[in-house]
Amino acid sequence: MKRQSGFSLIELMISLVLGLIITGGVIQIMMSSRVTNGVNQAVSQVQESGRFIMTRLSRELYEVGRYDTIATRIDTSVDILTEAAFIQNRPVALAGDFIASNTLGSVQATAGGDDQLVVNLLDARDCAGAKHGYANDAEFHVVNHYQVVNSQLRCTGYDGRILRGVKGGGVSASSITLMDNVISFQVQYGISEAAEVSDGLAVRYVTADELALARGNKQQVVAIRLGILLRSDDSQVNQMAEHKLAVLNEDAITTDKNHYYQIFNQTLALRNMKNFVRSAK
Amino acid sequence: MKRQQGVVLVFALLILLSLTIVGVSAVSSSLNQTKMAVSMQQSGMAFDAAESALAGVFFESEDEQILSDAARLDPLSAARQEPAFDPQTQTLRCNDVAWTDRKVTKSGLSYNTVHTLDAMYQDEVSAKSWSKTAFVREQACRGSSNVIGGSNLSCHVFAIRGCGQLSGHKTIVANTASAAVLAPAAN
Repeated sequence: MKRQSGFSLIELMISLVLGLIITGGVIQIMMSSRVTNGVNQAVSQVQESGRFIMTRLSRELYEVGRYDTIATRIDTSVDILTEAAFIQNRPVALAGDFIASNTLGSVQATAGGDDQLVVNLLDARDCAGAKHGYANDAEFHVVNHYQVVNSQLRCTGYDGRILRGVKGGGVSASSITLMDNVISFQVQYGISEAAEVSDGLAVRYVTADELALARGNKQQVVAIRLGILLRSDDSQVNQMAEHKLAVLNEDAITTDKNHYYQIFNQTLALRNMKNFVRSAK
Repeated sequence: MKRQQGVVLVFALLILLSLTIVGVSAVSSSLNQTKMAVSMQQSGMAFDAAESALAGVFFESEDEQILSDAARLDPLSAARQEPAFDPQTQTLRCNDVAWTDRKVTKSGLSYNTVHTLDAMYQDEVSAKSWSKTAFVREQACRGSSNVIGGSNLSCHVFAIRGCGQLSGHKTIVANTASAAVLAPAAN
């Protein structure tokens, strides 16, 4: 018989142990890169959502208080002078402003709750894209209501003319979900000095519950500051470090280990309001 | 050479392949995120440039030294002397040759200056900021009393287009404002 050659038992055991160590190391690297990849995905998803929602809200809120009688085609079935005065003097609506819906208005929530923002503007569509029966290119008094329901930031659009009681028909609302996974939505309002002396700049930031007093003092809202806390989807990450995060004026919230959290802040000057307040000086 | 046998090479290649796939997908997703973030930042810059252009028109139109100098015209007075713009039939575009031009440069806005110098609005990410102003019409001033209404005064209405554009980009961000000036009626 031809002489057989092969590994001895010792050689085999050494190679097995070495193989085990190398495989363990490789598995460790794979696991950690999978975890890192998960965290990266969660971070980029939250940041993308944050960028989207801030861009979307900025675009809509820049126009708050807008009433352009020169370059736009306004539906003239109601008195547009009264409507212009209403929108320009009440860019941010408060409870009691609308006859048809007495409670609709911006709300400063109690500690830990989400604020609600209600704004007036002239536009061709509300925030949900609804026309409320007006002609395609005709603009009308739009009322947009932003609030968080079950961690979803929703916007509900109304026909402001029906709300003000100058047009017949029932209050029709159209809703759209703008963003999921919203943990906190906070709003502050930059108010000017009294209209007679103001140059249109925000001198102080207040919450919605102080707006009625400011309105009484002829101090207009000329800026809006938004703070939104977003978090990642469930079971995307685990073992994240816990932080305390505070959104605008609210108390800090402690994050959990199973989500990635990020705050997005933005302060917007209401361009139309700034010029409106300046021109009243 | 002795013929080699074994699966170590195959395993090593498989592991390398899977790590490469993870790495490439991470890089491509972060590249996409960077692109989106840069695009948002750039549109914000162009928007700011357009807003500055609008502010520039108001700044110059309120400059007492320009207003009192008969030889120089602020943008609203200059636009008043040009043909009127009808918003219902015409358009006021940033690229139009017509209408009154003003520019905002990185040296900002200064008093006693007609801002027509053509220069960059900012250099780091080079951008331009300019405005087009056009006279629209004369109309009765809203909220004016009978005293003013009865006298020979009216509101001269202007449309202003503020434009911002980053170098190398085709898109222009344009914002619009309107202004009304109390002035003697033309007839």
